Amino acid sequence: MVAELQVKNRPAIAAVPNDPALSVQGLDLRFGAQSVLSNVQMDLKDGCYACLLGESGSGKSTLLAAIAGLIKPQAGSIRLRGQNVFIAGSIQIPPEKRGIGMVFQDAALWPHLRVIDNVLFPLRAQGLPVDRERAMLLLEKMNIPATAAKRKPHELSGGQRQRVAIARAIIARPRLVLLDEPLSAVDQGVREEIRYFLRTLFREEGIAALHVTHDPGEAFYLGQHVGVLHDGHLEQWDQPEKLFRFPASENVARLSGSVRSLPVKIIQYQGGKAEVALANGQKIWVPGADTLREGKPGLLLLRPGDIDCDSPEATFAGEAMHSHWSDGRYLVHLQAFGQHELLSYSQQSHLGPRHWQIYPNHGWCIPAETTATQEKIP
Amino acid sequence: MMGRSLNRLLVFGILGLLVLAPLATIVFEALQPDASHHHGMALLQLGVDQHFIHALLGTAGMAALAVVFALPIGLILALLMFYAPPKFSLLWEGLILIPFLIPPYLTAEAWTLLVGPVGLIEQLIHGLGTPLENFLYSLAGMAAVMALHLTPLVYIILRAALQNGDFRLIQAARVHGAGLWRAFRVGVLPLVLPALAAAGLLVFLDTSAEFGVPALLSGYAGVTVLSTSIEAATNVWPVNLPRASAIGLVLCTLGIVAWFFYRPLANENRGQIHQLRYPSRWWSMLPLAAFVLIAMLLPIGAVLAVSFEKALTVGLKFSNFTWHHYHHILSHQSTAFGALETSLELAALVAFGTMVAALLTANIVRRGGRFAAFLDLLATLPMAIPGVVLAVGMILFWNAPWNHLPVFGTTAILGVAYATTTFPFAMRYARAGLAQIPPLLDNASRVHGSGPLRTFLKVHIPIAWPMLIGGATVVFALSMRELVASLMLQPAGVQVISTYIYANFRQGVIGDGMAMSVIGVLSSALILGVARGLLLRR
Repeated sequence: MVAELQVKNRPAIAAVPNDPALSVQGLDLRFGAQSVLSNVQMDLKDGCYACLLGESGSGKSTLLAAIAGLIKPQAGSIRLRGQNVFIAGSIQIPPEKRGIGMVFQDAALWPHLRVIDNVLFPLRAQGLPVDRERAMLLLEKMNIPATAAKRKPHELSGGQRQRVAIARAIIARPRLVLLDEPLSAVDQGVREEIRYFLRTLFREEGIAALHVTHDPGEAFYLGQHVGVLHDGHLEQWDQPEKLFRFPASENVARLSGSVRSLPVKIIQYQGGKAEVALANGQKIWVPGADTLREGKPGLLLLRPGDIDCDSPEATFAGEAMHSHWSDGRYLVHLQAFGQHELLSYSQQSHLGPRHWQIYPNHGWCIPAETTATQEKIP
Repeated sequence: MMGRSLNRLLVFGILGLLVLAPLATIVFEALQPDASHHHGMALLQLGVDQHFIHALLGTAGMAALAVVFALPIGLILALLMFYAPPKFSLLWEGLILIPFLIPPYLTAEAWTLLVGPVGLIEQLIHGLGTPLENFLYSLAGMAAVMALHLTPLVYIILRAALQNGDFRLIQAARVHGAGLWRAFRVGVLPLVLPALAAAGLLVFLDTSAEFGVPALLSGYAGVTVLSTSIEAATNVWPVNLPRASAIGLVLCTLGIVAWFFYRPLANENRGQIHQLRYPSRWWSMLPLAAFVLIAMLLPIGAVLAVSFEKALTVGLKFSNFTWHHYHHILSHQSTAFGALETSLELAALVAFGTMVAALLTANIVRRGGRFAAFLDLLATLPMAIPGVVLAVGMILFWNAPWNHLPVFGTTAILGVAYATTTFPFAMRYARAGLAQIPPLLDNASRVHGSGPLRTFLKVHIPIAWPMLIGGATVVFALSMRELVASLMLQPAGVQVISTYIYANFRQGVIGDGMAMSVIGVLSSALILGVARGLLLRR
C-alpha cells in the first residue's frame, strides 16, 4: 500500500516497461583539454547490481557524477528507465529530478540531522509520504539499533554511518542507486558485513545499482554485471565470469585479478582457439579472442589458476624466484623463458628450478595491438 | 538557472551600492577642481599643499610607530603564551584579547583621564601624570594608543602561525645538531616572518585609517593626519568635497596597497598540525599581567571610575560617588537614551541584513569563477578603505542632486554605512560557515531530491549556523562602536552611542559619556549573550 502510494506521488518519473534501468550512450566528458570519459556505452537491466572496476583517476566517480546529473558531459545521452535525463545540447534534468539514490565514499550524512531524519530526507525532499516505519525497518535490516535512530551521525561508527547512507539511498525506492566506492573508507571486517547487507538488501528491494570500486573481490562478490573503466574508456561490460576468463584487454585482465602475460605469435585461429608460438618456439593451443589474426603478435594472459607447477610431467622449465602463503596455498612467482614472470598456485613453496605447464583450455589470448596494450609491446 | 542569475544580480546590486558607488564618486570628485583654488584637479593640488604633506607624514609616522610598538609586544605575548603558557592560559588569552574589543577612541579618552596633573594616575602616584601626559599628546602617544588596541590582533596572527608550525621540524633540527636558537630559526622563524609581515601591514592599515584617536589627541599633539583632514574638509567651513575626496583617494590607495600585500600573507594558515603542549611557567604571567594592566585594566578602570564621579577634579573619594550619569542616560526622555536605542536597533538590523547579503555573496564566491572573484574582491575591499573615506563617498553618492532615494539625511544612511564597513567581516564568517560544508553533502542533497533552494535552506544554513551567528555578533559589535561614519553621516537630531560619547567628551561632559560607554558595552554584551544563547541552543 505504501509502495503504491509512493509511486503515485513520485514527481515526473515515467517508467517504461522492459526499458533498462540505465542506458548510457556515447558519453564524452572533458575537463578543459583533458578527456575524462570517452564514448562510454552501457546498459543496466532493472534490478541488476552492477560493479564498475577501475583505478584511481580512471573516470569511475566522474561517470557516476554524470549519471547523477552533478556534472554535464559534452556528448552522449543518459536514459533512466526509458526517460531521457541527459541528451547533449538539449536535455539536462537536474539531479533532484532524476529519481536516483547515491551512496558516497564517506557516507556524506548531514551532521545537523538525526539518523532517522537523514534517512527520511529523500522522502521529504521529493514530496513523498514520510514513511517512518519503512525507515526504521531499513535501519533494522542494516543492523542499526533503533535507539541510534535519534542520534546524530557523529555518534555512530564509520561502518554504521555508511549503512545509514545506504538506507537513505534506497528509502524512496529510486530507479537506480549509484555507489561511489562506499566500502573503501571502512575496515576489512566492516567491509565484509556491509557487502553482505548490500547484496541481500538490493536483491530484496529489486533496485538496480551501479557500484564503483577498485577491488575486484568486491566487484565479483556483488556484481551480477561487471565493467572495467580505464582512462575514461569502458573496456569491457560483461558478466563477471566472462570478464574474468575472457578479458578484452590486458587492462581488463589486470584490474579484475592477478595476471601475467607472455608475448606470442598467432599461428592459426579456429573455433575460439588459437595455435600460438611461445618465446622458445614451442607451439600450443589456447582459448583466444576472435579478433586474433594469423601471423600477428598476441598476448597470452595467464592467471595463477591457469598454470600448474606441481605436476612432474610439466614440459616447460622455469625458476621459482619467490613464493608466499596465500589463501590456503602458495603463490609462486616463476621466471619463464628467461625474462617473463608468471604466477602459479602450488602446494609447495620451494624456490629454484620448477617445471610448469598451462592447464588444458586455460589462459586467454588477445591481440597484442589492442589500444590498451600496444604501447607495452616491444 | 534563473534563480542563480537573480542571486548574482541581487548581490552585485547590493555590493555596487555599498562599495562601488561611493568609491566611484570619490574618484570622480577627486578629479574635480579644488573648491578653494578653482583651478586644477583637487588630486593634483595636493602635491603643492603643505597641510596635506604634513598630514601624510603624520599618518605614515603614526602608523609606522604603531607597528614598531605593537609587533614586539604581540610577538612576546604570542611566544610566551605558546612556549611558556601561564596557568589558566585560556583566561589569560581572553584578557589579552579584550583591549581589541574596546573602541580605540574610548582607550584614548580613558588615557586622557588617566594622565595629566589631575589624572587618576597622578592621584595615585605623584609626579607620573605630567610626563605621561606629554607622551600621550604626541605622535608616539597616539601610536601607542593604537598599539594597545591592535596588539591583540598581532597576538592572534602570530599565535596562529606558531600553532601552525610543526614541532617535528624543531625536533629534527635539534636531533641533527642545531642549538635552541638555530632550531628556532629553521623551524619557527620561517612561519613567523610572513605572519609578522601580515600583522605589521594590518596594524599599519588600521592605524592609518583611524579617525577617533587622532581626532581626540592630535590637536594637542600638534600633529595632523589624513583622516582628520578629510573630516575637516567636509565639516569645517568652507566645505571642500573635492579636497576631501582627493585626500581620501590617497588614504585609500595607501590602504589598498597595504591590503594587497597583506592578503597573500594572510592565506598562509595551514590548519593545526602536530602540536606539543608546552609545560606552564609561572613567570610568564608577569609580562602578560603588565600588558593586561596597561591595555585593559587601567583604561576600563578609568572609564568606570569617571562614570561614577560627581566631579573629575575631586578624585577617587566616596563623597564624590554618584549614580547620576547612569540615571541620566537611562531616563527615557534623554538624548542619551535615544542614542542607545538608535544604536541597538541599527546594529541589530545591520547584523541581520549584512549577514544575509554576505551569505548570498559567499554562496556565489564559493562556486568560483571570474565573477565570483570580482564579487569577493568587492566584498572584502571595505577592509582596505578607511571609514572616513567611505563616509565621504557616501555623502557624495547618497547626497548627489540626481540621487532621489530617501537615504541621506535619514537614519538609514547609518545602516548603509555600517553594512559597508562590516561587510568583509560578515563575508569572512559566511565563507567560513559555507566552507565547513563538503561538496559531498551538497551532492547528497541534490541527488536525493532537493533543489538548490531547499539544499541551501535545509543543508547549508543549518550547518553554517554557528558561523553565521558568530558573524552577526561581530557585525553587531562593530556597528555599535563605529564612530567616524556615524559622525559624518548622522542626520540632524539623531545620535548613536559612539557620537554621543565623542561629543560629550569634546564638550567636557565626561561623566555622561563614560557612563554611556559602560551601558553600551554591557547592553550589547547582554543582548549578544541572550541572542547567541537562544539561537545556538540546538
